[in-house]
Amino acid sequence: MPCSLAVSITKAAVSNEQLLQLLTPEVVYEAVKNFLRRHETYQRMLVGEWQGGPHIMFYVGRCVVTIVNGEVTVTGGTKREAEFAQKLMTDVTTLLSRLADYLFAQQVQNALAALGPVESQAVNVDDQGVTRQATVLTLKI
Amino acid sequence: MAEIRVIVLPGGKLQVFVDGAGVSFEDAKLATLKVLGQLRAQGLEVEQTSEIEQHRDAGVQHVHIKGNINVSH
Repeated sequence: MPCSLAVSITKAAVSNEQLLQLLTPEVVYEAVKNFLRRHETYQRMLVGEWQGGPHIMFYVGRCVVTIVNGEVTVTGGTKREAEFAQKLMTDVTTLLSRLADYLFAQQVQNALAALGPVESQAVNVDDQGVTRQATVLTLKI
Repeated sequence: MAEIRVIVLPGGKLQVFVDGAGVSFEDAKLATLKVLGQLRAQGLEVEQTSEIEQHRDAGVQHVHIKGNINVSH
C-alpha cells in the first residue's frame, strides 16, 4: 500500500516510562551479557557480571557498567580510558534502546493478534530525512 | 475490508495507515479507533498524538518506507 493511496494516517505513542518497563532486569541482564560476550573487543575484557534486584553490573576491563531501570552508567578506568568508557556506555545504551523498540513492536503485534492474523516486516523508513529502523505490522479488519 | 498498516517506530511511536478497496474516510476512522482501542485494552497506554487525518499527497507529514513499496512526496 503506497502511502499516497492511504485513506487515513494517525500518529500515536506510548510514554518513555512505558518503554522502560519492558526492560526488566532479567531481560536486560541476558541481552547485555550476550552482547558483551559476543563483541569482538568487549568479550576479551569481560571479567565479571552481577545482578541483584534492579541493579545489574558488568566488569569490562577496569570499567564498571551499571544498569538500573534502563539507565546506563560507566565508571572506573583511567583518564586515558575515558574514550573507551564513553564508547562502552554508548554501545550498551544503544543496545537497550533497540531492545526496548523490539520488545515494544512485539507487544503491539501480540495485542493486535486478537483482531486477526498480523504480518510483521522489518523495514527502514525515511522520517523527515532521517533513516530509521521500524517494524510494519499489517492486518485486515 | 480495511487494510491496516501499523508502523512501529523507535521510541514508542506508531503511525497507523488505513487503506482498502471501497474504504471511506469514515471506515478508516473506525478501523483506526478499533486498532488503538485494542492496544489500550491489552494494557498499552497509547496516546493519539495527531488527529485521524485524511491523507493527501502534500498533506500529512509521516514516515516513508524505503524501498520499492512506497513513494515519496
